[in-house]
Amino acid sequence: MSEMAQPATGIKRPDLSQKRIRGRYAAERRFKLYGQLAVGLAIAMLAVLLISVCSKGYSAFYRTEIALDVMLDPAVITPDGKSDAETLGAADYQGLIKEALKTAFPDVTSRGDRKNLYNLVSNGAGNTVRQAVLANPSLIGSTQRFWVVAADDMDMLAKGFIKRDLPEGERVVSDTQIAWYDKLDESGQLRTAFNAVFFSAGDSREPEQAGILGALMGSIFTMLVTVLLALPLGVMSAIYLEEFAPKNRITEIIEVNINNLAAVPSIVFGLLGLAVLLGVFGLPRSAPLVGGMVLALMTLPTIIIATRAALKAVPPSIREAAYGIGASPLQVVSHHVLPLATPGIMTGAIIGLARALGESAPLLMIGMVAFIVDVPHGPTDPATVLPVQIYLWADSPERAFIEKTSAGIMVLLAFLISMNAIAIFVRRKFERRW
Amino acid sequence: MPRQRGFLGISTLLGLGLLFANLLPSAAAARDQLHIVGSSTVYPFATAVAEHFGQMGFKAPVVESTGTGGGLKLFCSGVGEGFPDIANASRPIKEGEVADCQKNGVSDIVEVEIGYDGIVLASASSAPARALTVRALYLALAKEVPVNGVLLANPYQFWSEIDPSLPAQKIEVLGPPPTSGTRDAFLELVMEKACHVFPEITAITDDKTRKAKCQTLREDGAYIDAGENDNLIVQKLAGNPDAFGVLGYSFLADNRDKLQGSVMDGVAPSEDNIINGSYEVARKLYLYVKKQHRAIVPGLAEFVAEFMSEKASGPQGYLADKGMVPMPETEHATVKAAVLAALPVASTLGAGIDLGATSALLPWIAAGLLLLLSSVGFQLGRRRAFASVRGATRQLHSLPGYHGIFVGLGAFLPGAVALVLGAVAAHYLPGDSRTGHDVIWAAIAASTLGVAALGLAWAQRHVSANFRARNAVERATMVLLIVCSLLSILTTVGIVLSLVFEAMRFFAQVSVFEFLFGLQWSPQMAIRADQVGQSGAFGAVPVFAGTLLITVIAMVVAVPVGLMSAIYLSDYASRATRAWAKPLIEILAGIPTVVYGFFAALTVAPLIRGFGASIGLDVASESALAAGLVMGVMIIPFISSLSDDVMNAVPQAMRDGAYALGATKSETIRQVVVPAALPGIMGGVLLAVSRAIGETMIVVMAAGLTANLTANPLEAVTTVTVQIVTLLVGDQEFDSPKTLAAFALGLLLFIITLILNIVALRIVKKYREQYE
Repeated sequence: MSEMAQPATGIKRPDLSQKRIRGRYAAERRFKLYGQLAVGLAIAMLAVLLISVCSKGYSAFYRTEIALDVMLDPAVITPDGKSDAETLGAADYQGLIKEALKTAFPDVTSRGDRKNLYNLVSNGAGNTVRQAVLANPSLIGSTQRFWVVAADDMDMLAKGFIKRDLPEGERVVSDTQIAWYDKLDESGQLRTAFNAVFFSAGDSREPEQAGILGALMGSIFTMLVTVLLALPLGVMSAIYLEEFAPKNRITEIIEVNINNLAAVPSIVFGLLGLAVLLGVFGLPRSAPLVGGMVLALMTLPTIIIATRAALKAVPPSIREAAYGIGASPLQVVSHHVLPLATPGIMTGAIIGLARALGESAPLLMIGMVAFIVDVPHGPTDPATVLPVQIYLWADSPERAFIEKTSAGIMVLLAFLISMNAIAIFVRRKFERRW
Repeated sequence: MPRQRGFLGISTLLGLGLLFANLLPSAAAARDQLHIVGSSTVYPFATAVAEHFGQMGFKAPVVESTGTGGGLKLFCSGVGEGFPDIANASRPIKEGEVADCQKNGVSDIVEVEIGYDGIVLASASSAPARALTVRALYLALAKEVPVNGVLLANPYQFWSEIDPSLPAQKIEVLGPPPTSGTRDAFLELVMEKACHVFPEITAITDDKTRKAKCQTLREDGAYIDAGENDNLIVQKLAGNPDAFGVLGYSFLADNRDKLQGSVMDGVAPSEDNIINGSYEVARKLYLYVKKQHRAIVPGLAEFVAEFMSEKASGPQGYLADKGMVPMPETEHATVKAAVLAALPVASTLGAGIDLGATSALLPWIAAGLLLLLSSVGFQLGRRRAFASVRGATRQLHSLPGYHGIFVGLGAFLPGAVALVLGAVAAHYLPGDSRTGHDVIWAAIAASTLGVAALGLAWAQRHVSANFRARNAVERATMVLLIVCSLLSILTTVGIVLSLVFEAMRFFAQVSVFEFLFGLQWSPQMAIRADQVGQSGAFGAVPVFAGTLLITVIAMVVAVPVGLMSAIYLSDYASRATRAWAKPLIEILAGIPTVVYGFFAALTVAPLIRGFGASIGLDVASESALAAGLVMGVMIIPFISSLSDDVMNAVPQAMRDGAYALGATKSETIRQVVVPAALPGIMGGVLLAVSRAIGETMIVVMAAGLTANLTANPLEAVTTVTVQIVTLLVGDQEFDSPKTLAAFALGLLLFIITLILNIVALRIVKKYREQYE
């Protein structure tokens, strides 16, 4: 360096420094622009995805309802004169709805037309009436107006997903059904209302009765098991490997091995779960407990790798200072290194768990790709998870499941964002630069 | 009290371990709902019945969609609460599967025919209506067709070359993959039937060769394996008026605004025509019922009765509304009568053991008491440490908290071992009554607490001023850490074991050499024993080449974008920007891959195809480019977030040093920050590569199943994960080489990534530098 510091005497050189500095500044601006472009691109992709999902899915949050004047016939509801809850609950309310439809359209007589007429309302419509009667048995015998759920085809018609102007042969609904629909519309017997069922029910083969709650609870239980297993186990093995393990052949094998596990296709973890957790330990099929364990195994490598990177990034001076005041190796790690590495650990947890939340392939092998009506109440009840529910809906032929699919994705994203929010809060709390 | 916080942390961790051990016995409680597995074709119908059944006072059955082969495998693996009760099938059970069932004690199986599934050839409703014949289909799709008296590789490119009355459009048929029962039925009902009118075919005397010639589909892009998601095929057809698709009838019925069914040999695919038999491309669907489970799970016979009732599978039943083609009235009545005779509806319910409330609670009580005892031990140990030096803590070797943890652990560890051992023992003990369970668990709880109390007393005796409690606790912690890091080894061992046995069986049928170096992958092997002899090639090279191609494309997107984002966020962006931008980008990693799959298949792929067409390039509708680009977007956060964290952790002093030398910000980043953060960045990139290799759903939907050996990103390729998934969830017999190939692929992928990782580790080690 010393030669350069000496002034070059006698030689006249053009002063290029200004030009060079301009060039360097231009490079600086370009570099920053690339960064902005990259961030912009990533966020733009996210926006495109979100907008396309939300624009398809928002309509699933409301539904079409039809007002019917239902005669609560005592002969149907209390055939043997008893009015205990069991008799009231078991009565054929769907039959009453059909009677009400017949009364509303007295000119429909043929058998085929009647069947079409009954198809205007959901075959779960009777539940609305059942609940009202159970809540207030004194209604029996009177004629009441109920807003019942319309069938999915009518709902699609109301939302404009079934085009009226197509020839009849290319539509799922017939011309007569459209005429009935219009008649109901004119007389004010149609309305749109918030689709509460979507948030309070499990899966159903009838789109208008299908809900996301079962899958949401399944995902919550599964994720709970995954977090409780993967985070402590992952962080502890990373601490050992990064801070304490002697650098020898065995630890090298472990390290390669962990990196390799990250590349194992997720469905293979499902095979492992099937063989070991179900086969050897005899855990039940379709349970979030098993799903969570399998996903935890799948997530571990991500968390371990991220945690090791974070531990590695803590400057050696911090450790040396701690050793200098007499801390034991474990104290150095747990009191100083680990808190400083927390932001990185949280990042690993976020992306690892985000993947686990969106994963469906390994669950296939352990029976969570399934149709389950009941909402699970614990980690050993049969359950499915949100991505599986989305996939199953996406594979259903009924048109109304398209909006349900997108709405399911919206719920999954909301879950993901709230899960991430916790981790981000922790990350922000510990983040610092030295 | 930081020491106490440490204790809290350790005890929560250990408590968690107990919690999982405890879930074992509670999970073994009796099953009160039916468990149904099997075909994805029967799934929509079985679920509809399950739901109705659930409204009849029974618990709604769990219906899984596993594919026929996987379903029957599970079904046949044993009798008891842990095994499914019913298997759905889109083909009849095979002899090998029956033998497998017998071997595992499943001796009493009832076969139930439930109805038909019509297979239609559909095209976009915007396309002109086209009347097809099975003859034309055969000529369009067979690998070898008779031309002027000899069998030649299929020369037809346009429909009009086969039959001048058909339009001059390119032959393009989207259909199910070789693992699908739908495809099997299509071969049987269309190809086999049509090829027998040709003298060149009937001249072949060998049965096997003839069938092979008839039923092998061409692999030059005219027939596209489009996966099992029929909705995706519907969308692809709607956007491509040239293409035909092979679909289940229900998807045509529900998408009449988008699709039209092609008239086949003069008969339109309508419900009436399928029921009365004039539309012949339809196959039977089955249920297989494990009669032995009538005593184990309540409602088995009732469920089958509901399935076979008039209002369900009858000609006017609700299953017809769901798209199943019902049997004609008389046939339905006969089948129903036979099934009801074989499976009479009995009033006796399943006699599973009802675990009493005490039995369910006892494990939890034991665990709770153990934790309580441990925390008492902590307090006692701490007090004793204080007392031993009369409050002058400086005379203690270890802080009082360490003594506390030592005593707490002294109580906890033996207790936990006793509890876990007890739980395992209780799991295998034949607890045939509720009181029996209660007694066993009471004994376990008592011995747990006894052992814990002994341990506590032992540890308490050790506490004294000179006792090195901290060293003892740290040794225990270190053992815990080592055990955790060995878990990954255990997982690997488990994975290798679960792959290796099945892979061995595969290699017993297909030579290792052919698998490793074969250049053709085409598992077009027979699903049923009576249709032997289609071609089957198991060369893994094109599959791995496809994986490599898609991974490279994904990394070309993800590395620059991810790295530049990380640089911008860690060094340029203000704190506020970083605070919202980083979490936003991380959402990209959490969007379910199904969503990306649809996005790639329905938005990106047509865009690329359209763009390619406008500049004169022929782009496959399932190009590797579309799948790779979208996958690249998905893994951006793996690189951006991890790199951002490590760059952020590079000491500010290093940056300040560079600035002081006159470097601009970008020079500092390029020459100081990035090199310093390189090991971490490499870790992120490696993780992203791993993720790209292991990713499944995007490629299943967007990349297709045709194995082409090509480096052209505009062509369709397939990947290892796609093949594994489709092979595993197919309808073929689970023990056929077709399914076993999935295990061999998994094993080979495992070995290849292992080698890659070893190489990568060597490289990272070589360039790794510790700064500061």
